[in-house]
Formats: sequence, C-alpha cells, structure tokens
Amino acid sequence: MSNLWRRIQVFLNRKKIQRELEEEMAAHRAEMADPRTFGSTLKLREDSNDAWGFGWFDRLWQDVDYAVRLLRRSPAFTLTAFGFVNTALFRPLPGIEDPHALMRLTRQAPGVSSTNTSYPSYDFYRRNNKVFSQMFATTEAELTYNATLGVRPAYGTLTPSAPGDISISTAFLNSRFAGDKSILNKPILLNNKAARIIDVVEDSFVGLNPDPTKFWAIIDDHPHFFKGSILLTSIDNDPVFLYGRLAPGISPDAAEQAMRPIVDERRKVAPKEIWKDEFLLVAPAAYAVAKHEKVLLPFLLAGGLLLLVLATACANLGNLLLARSVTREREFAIRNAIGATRTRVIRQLMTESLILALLGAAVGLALSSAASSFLIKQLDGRPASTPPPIGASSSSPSSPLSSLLSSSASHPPCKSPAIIRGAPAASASSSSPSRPPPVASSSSLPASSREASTAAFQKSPASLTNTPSRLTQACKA
Amino acid sequence: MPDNSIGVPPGTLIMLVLRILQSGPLHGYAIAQRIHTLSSETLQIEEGSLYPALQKILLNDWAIGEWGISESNRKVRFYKLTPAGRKHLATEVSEYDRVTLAIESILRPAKA
Repeated sequence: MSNLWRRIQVFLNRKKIQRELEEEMAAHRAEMADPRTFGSTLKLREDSNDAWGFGWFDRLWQDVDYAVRLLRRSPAFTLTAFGFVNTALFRPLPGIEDPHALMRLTRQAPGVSSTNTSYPSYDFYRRNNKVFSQMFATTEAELTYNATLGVRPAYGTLTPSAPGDISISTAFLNSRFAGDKSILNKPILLNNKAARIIDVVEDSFVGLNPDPTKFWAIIDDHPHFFKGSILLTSIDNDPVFLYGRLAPGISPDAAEQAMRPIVDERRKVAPKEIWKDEFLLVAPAAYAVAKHEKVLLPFLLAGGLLLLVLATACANLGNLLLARSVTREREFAIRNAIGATRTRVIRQLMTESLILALLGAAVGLALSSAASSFLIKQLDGRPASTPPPIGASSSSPSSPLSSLLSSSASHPPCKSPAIIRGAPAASASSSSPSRPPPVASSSSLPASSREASTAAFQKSPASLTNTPSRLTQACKA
Repeated sequence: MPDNSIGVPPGTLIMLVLRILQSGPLHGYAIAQRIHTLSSETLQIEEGSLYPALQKILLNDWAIGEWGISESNRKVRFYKLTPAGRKHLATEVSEYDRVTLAIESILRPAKA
C-alpha cells in the first residue's frame, strides 16, 4: 500500500528523480579510476527507472510522441476517415417525447397481416385496453397524434378548439408563409373548408411518415374536410394506422398479450372485419427502421457497400503503411544499430498504427454522427424515391399559390391548380373568420366520400389533392 | 578491473548492499567499492545492476536517500538503512543460509 503510494509519488516527481539519479551517477563516474568502464548513463537510468515499474509508460510515451511528430511532419499522409455508422437507424426519430414507449400496432393472423385497421376498431381498442396510456389512429397524420407524440409546440397551441384547426410544420411555415407567424389563428380554406392554423410544430419533429408532413389535422375533423366522410364509422375498409403509447412498466410483449382478448371481443362485434386468430403485433414505432420498412433495404445495401468501402480503405491504408515502412528501412536500421531491440521497433510501429486508428476513429465518429443526423433529416424531408415536383407552376417562386400544392412530390399533376391562400393579407380582408371566403377554383367534390377519406387526410395539403379530379381546395379572401 | 573478479550471484545483490549499509550510510560508488574490497576483490559490481538495485531498495523503503558531500567533495546520495531494511536483511540472510546449507549438503557427499 505504502509501496503503491511511493510509486505514485515517484511517478509524479519522475523528472526530479531522474535528474537526481543522473547527478548521482555522474558523481560515481567521477570517482572511478577509469570512468569509461561506467556503462551508458542513459541505459542505466532507464534500467533504474524500470525498478519503479513505469518504464513501460515512458516507452509508450516516447512512441506516442514520436508517432505524433512523424504524422505532423508528413501531413500528406493523413487518415482516411471512414466509419460511417448507421447507428442512425437505431436512434429514435427526433422530436418525439419518450420514443421508446411509442408503439405501432399491426394486425397479424396466420398468412395475413395489415398495417391498417378501421376507425371503429381503433375506437374499441382505445376504450377497452389498459396497457396503453394513449392510443391514436392516423390516416397518415393528424393533430391529436401530435399531442400524443409529445411534440412541444414551437408556437401557438396544440389544443384544437374548433373543427378545422390544424398544425403545420415549421418547414411549411417557412416555405409557404415565409416564416410569418402572424398566419397563426387566421382563417384559411383547406379543401374548400374552413381551417385555422393554430400551431407550428417544432422543427425537429418530422412525423412518423416517410413523406414530408406539411400539416396535421384532427382525425375527427375528417368529415369536416371531406363531405360525407364515413371514415369514422365505416368498418368496410381500413383507413387508419394504429399507434399506442405503452403505459409505464408495460413491455411490448405484455401489451401484445393483453390486447389478444380485446381483439377477440372485437371479433364478436365485427366478425367480418377481424380475421380468425387475429392479434395485434406491438412494435416500436419511433425508429427510422420501423418507420420506413421500405427504406430499410436500401439502408442495408448502403451499409453493405460501406463495409466493402471500409475493407478497401483498410487495404489501401495497409498498403500505404507498408510502402511507408519500406522508405523507413534506414531509420529502423539505425535504431537497431544503436541498441533498439526488434520488439521495441515493432512496438513503436504498433503505437503509430494505434494512433492513426484512434485519430481515424475520432474523425469517423464525428463525421458519422453529423452525417447520420443529416441523413435522417433527408430521409424524412425528401425521400429519394419520390420524383421531383411536377405540376402547374410548381416551384416558381412567383406563384405562391400553387407552390404549396406542388410541394408534395407524390401527387400527380394538378389540372386545375388547387389553391390555398392563407396569406395574412388575404385573411385580413376576409369578412368573417368562421365563414371563409368563396373558393377560387373548384372542380368537383369527391364522388365517393369513402374514396376521399381513404385517399389521404394529412401530410401535405397536396395530398389532399391526391385525387385532383375530385378534390379541390382553395381559399381566397 | 582485476581479472579474477566475478559478478555478484543473481538475487544476492540487494542483500549484499543492505549488509554493507548496516555499518552506516554510504553512497553508490562507496557501496560498490566496499563490496569489492570486502570480498577480497572477488566480487565486482556492475553499475548497470547497482543503480537499479538501489532504486528498488528505495522503492521498498529498505533505505532512504540523503544528499551529502563525499570524501572527494562531490555531491552524492547517501543510502541509509531503515528498520524495514534491517528486517528485510535479516530475512534474506536467514534464507540465504538455508539455501547455502542445502546446496552444501548436496555438494559435499559428491566431493567426498
């Protein structure tokens, strides 16, 4: 114990101790009849240091020091930064509170599965279960959904008070309204129906869909936006996705088991809708992988490619080091000649490689963390698979009216450019907030509201116009 | 260096140094000299092993180093035996005695 303490003290004072030892040896040398018989002072000193048990440290330090000097001297010989890690895949999507508890429920039965269910079933599950603290259904996205996700409002409020209250994304606010927050609480027309932006969702939240979400509305407002919508009542189709937030202390497996009898109950009520042996698969929802099953494959491919690139980079680096060591043969020869052992030289090379690796890893980690958050953002903002915006006067900045609609790449060209105008000036001139002004252009309303309800109720205003022949939205004061 | 001098048997150097220090503090060179003379100039200590041994002695607190002035007026470090060093010396010596005795008892019958 005291031995260890002394070692530490010596270690801290090693400079002084070495000086003393040197002095002592010099005196010894001077006393000798033939000083030449006194060996190498340096070697002696090193051997003496070994007695304290930190010679390895000094040598390591020497090697590190030497390696760093070498690297500095030849900056051209720099590291290939690799190691793009797809940890991003396993990191929850941004902007969601307590993402681990957020689950997606998928219908499963032998031989069949579906991500979709009907609204009445959702309602039944929501009312009867005890394992989810919250449950919500989306036909892509809607406002209650935001509240459940725990998105903090960037501005405004998240509590809708009237039919037609919606939230929009920050990106949408910026692109459509030039970031002007005064649009909040002003009446606009959406799908030819009164709407009001009551909230701008914070920037980090990208929604749960692969496609960019421009705004969210409450699913209960579906009939408000789509005349004759039977989304909330029909069990003949399955328009909604089912999500739930696990109650504290409940595991996904436990929730899955707890849901089984409830599904069986539901089958009694709706035997046509619920399959035989159906159950709800409970899986994490707030992850890029879970979120974009379709995106997973490209990601894995990219990961595999990256591994290949990595292997190539390793081989290249190895070659580079080899070539370098050939040019350094002379140096090694000299070191050998003045007494360095083989192992000592090998050790030094190892230390050099280690330092190289550490530097590479550090840079790689930094880059990959930046890159993966960037990629996740890209993934959510602009899926690579979607074609560039098409449609009338799509991205022309001079026509803000249509730019809104064309900004969703997924919708087909709009014959009658659907229009939303929610500019502050426009709403100012509108006579009454509750009764929005007449529509600028309108073709026909959905022939079949059922289709309309399944079409899309969400995402971007453009997806409201997913079926442009049937839906038109406009707003003009 | 006299031709008949030999190195110190491995493992005994520390014991010898401690034994030399028993009669009073000495500096490195003097320790080497003393061992040389006391062994009738048979044992020759290499500096290469003396100083590591001295460091080890310091490390184990068997002796403490004190700076002083040598007979030839040089600043040197005197090594002074500590109680712990004394104790260690006693153990080492008794160990050594046992080992030599054992070795003798093997060698003698062979000689006879």
